[in-house]
Amino acid sequence: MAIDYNPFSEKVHADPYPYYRALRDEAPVYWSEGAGAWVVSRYEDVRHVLTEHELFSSDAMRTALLGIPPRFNPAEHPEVMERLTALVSSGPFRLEDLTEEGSGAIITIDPPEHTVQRNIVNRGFSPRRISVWEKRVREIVDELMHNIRGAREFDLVSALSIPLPMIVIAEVLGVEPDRRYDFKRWSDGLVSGISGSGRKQGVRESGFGATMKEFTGYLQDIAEKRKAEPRDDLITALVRAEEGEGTLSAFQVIMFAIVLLVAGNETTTNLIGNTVNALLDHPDQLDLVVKDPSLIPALVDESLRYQSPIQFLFRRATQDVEIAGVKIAKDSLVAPLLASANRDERQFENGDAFDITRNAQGHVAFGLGVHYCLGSHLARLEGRVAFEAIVPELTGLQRRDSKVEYVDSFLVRGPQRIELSRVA
Amino acid sequence: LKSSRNEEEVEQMKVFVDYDLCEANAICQRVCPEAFRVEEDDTLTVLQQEPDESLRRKLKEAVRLCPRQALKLEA
Repeated sequence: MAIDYNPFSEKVHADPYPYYRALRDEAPVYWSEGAGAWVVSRYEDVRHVLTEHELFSSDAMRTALLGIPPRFNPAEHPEVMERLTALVSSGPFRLEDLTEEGSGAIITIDPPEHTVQRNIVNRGFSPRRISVWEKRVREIVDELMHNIRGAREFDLVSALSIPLPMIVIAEVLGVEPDRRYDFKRWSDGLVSGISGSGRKQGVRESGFGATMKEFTGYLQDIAEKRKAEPRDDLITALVRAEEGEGTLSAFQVIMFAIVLLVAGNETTTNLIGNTVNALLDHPDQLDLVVKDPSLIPALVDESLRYQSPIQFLFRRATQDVEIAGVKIAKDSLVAPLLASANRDERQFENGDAFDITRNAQGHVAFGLGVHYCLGSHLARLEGRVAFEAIVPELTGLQRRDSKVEYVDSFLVRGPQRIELSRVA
Repeated sequence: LKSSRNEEEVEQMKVFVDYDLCEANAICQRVCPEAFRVEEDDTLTVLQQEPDESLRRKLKEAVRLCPRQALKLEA
């Protein structure tokens, strides 16, 4: 059977895993016309693409998400210019801010520029530095759980998975947690605009342009405030890099803050939602972790492996390369499928099974190499504390509808809502 | 072929850290505490530059699991 894999299609969005298996077994390096990219699906090949950043450039993230081709020449791509112009027209930035080489956000650039940006913030995210946040994470979870325990029926996603990471990243960044409903709206608008249904519509029609205007305007205001009055937060570290060392432009400060805010909440929200669904789908596994809470750290990693919140990434071949015997021409887009690598039987025995007693170490849900998820330890901490609180409750709860509606994105995977009610 | 493989196995291993890449994720310390220690200030100390052969399996695991791929094992 010929494989017809298009990551943007409804069928793949509904359940990508049979496609991933077919790709791994029959076409481990597959040209997807729909994605306009070579799709790489086996564990070892995905590791190779992620690790060899000189062969596989991250500028493809900009190409894939904003439609800006490498070595962009505006004259050759009027349709791209139209979209970008619409995107910046209402905001405070210039078109060149988006299109200049090396001008991008941390996820769209390579070393050495990437190293400079990463070094501004990375020391704050080590396990030792993140462990300081445990007490605060626990307080937030306690508060959210208080409302949950009092409810007969609730949506776990809006009651726990969304607010927890949003409040935490807002505090880490130094933006007002009270504005979290705005952040969520902006964040969802951004994800949909670059990787969901908003992508097919115009920037104006989808509201993407308006969202970005509000989002950048708000962050610009905060950045100005921190310049006047520095605090012990990440925004201050970013504006210091703009003013002191001159390592960031004003535009990059805002982009950086947006990436941290979006990456800090969308992913962990989906980690929590995916884990709860996986446990409800597998009562034997729920039983195991209820009886032995010391399995919770293993549950976090197995969940990340089993249902990766980020399904894949984009890279660009910087020269003619070969992956698993398939020749790939210079400048082609390559899409390493993290979520498929994590199910690869060549690495994880019985990869499609959810088994919290397995060794899931080595999964690539957080990526690998220079772009390895900056917030992995924060995500693990939030997951662990959230599951310590919610897992004991789950045996007394049932889903009102076992059909899962996933978020509007081909990149980000997680449930829109999980409606739970008390078992009578 | 067999003899060359045997020779390789007895050759002294060496551990290398790319300190520009290391971000103190401390996975290596968890996998092989005999050879790695992350200090209070988040710098990595290699406790055995030329580790004992008995640690080979653990060291290979540490190299493979390093999130930033900052470790190398030679010989």
